[in-house]
Amino acid sequence: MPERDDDPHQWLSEHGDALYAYALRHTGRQQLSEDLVQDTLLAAWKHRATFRGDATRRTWLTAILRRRLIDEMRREKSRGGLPVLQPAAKWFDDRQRWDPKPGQWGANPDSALESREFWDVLHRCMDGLPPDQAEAFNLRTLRDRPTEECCKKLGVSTSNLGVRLHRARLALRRCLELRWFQPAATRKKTKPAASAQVAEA
Amino acid sequence: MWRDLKLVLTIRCEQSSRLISDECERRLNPIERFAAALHRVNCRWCRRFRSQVAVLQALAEQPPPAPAQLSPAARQRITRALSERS
Repeated sequence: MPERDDDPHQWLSEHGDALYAYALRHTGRQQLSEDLVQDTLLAAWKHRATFRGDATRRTWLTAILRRRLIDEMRREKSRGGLPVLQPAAKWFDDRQRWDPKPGQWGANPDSALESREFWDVLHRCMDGLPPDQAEAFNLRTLRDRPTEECCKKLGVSTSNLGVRLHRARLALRRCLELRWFQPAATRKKTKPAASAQVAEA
Repeated sequence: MWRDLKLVLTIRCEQSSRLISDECERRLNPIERFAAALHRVNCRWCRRFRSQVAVLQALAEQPPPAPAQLSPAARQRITRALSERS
């Protein structure tokens, strides 16, 4: 093993982004992914003697990260049966009407998807979801896995998955509106009177 | 029959939004489709929610434009943790 490669700071600078992107793809959550990268590097340092050099450093680090991801998924699955679902009712008044009402997302909201910053905001919004909802939305929507596979991985019924996705969509819709779409609209209309609805953001 | 009629007559935004979410996952039955569509005729908020859910659905089809990178703050935090324990 070359001496100069045996430095966790160097692992961070050379492989940190790749590990983070890998974790993010599997969790959809920014904070959790950052924590997993940190845990991976610390574990790798602790067990540095096990690196034989027959794989690349990145493959070795990714294998450690993958084990951490599996552990994390197991922990979430074991929490799956607990009633951690938030009531959808918080998005509706007592007559089951929208409260707050969905705001405008601008003329061409699809174009947001082309912005890296939008995706960062999305992953931060995912951090704010209860883990069971974030996991469901990440698997089913971001990673486009079939319903049966999602139910099996999460250990829930189809109808429970439907509840989680509904709540995730309600919460993400609101979060993206406050953190991305409304601030963008405010920036565009700088001169005329500021919109009253932005005050909430 | 009575349940179907009740859905059509009493559907509100909360249930309509659930059906909008469900239709991403499964084919709604004809009564659900009719009740949800009828509700949306008079509810611009549910029409808006439906178009916003469509944007969220598009996330699966469009990969992020650039690979994700650790934020400078996260990088700093991890560097600190490594310095403390290595």
